[in-house]
Amino acid sequence: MNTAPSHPVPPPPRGSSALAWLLTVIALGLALLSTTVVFALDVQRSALQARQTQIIRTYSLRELENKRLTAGAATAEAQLERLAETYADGKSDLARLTEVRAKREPLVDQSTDLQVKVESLVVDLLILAKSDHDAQAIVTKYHIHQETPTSAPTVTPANK
Amino acid sequence: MLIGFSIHDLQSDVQKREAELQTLDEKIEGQKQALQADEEKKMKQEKAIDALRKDLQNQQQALQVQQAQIDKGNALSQQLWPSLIRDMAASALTNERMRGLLTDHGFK
Repeated sequence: MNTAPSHPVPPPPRGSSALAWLLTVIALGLALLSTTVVFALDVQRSALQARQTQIIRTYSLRELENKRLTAGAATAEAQLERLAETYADGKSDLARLTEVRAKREPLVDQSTDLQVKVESLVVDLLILAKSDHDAQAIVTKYHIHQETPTSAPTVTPANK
Repeated sequence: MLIGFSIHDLQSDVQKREAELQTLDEKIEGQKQALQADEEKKMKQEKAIDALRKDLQNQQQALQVQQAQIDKGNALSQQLWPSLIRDMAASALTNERMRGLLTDHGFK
């Protein structure tokens, strides 16, 4: 078994050079400590540099994402504006159509009244035509006929 | 000493960059949420436009039906009705029953 010390410090001398030996040991210790500290700081610096590089890379990627999202937001805003315009136009069209429909309603009522009136007159004319030559002549002239007993009579003017 | 200062500067720089990155991340998160909200708004607006289009179609169809009814009335009042009444009135001059029919329907 080897019992010799493994450190580089030489064995303590005897007599007056003990102080010099002590100083040498201290100097060597300080040198060792300094080397260790420098090494540790270097490791720390490397780690920080790696982190810095990683952050720079991540920031750059995030900036790209930010630009993409900003462009997306602008597009979405433009789309929303366009949709709002379309909706407003549609609302306006609907209001216009509703107004036109309401204005035409009296005309529709008039038309329906007239049709009822014509239908009623023509039904009586058809009944009269069964026993009256003049009525029969008018029925023939206007091609008035009742297709089924329940249906309304149809009229087609023969000549105007 | 120099290494110590260098590390201190580096640490400050890393901290500053981390703070900037965090700010950017928060901004991105905000933008994502805003985009999501816009997307929901867009879908809602599109649904409303679809419903409006259906209303417009229904209204247009109703207008077409109305117009057909009006056209029918116009045709009757401008073409058939005057001519038919004129012929019936002419006949009524010599035909008592025709005169009675016209009177029953409000013609005097």
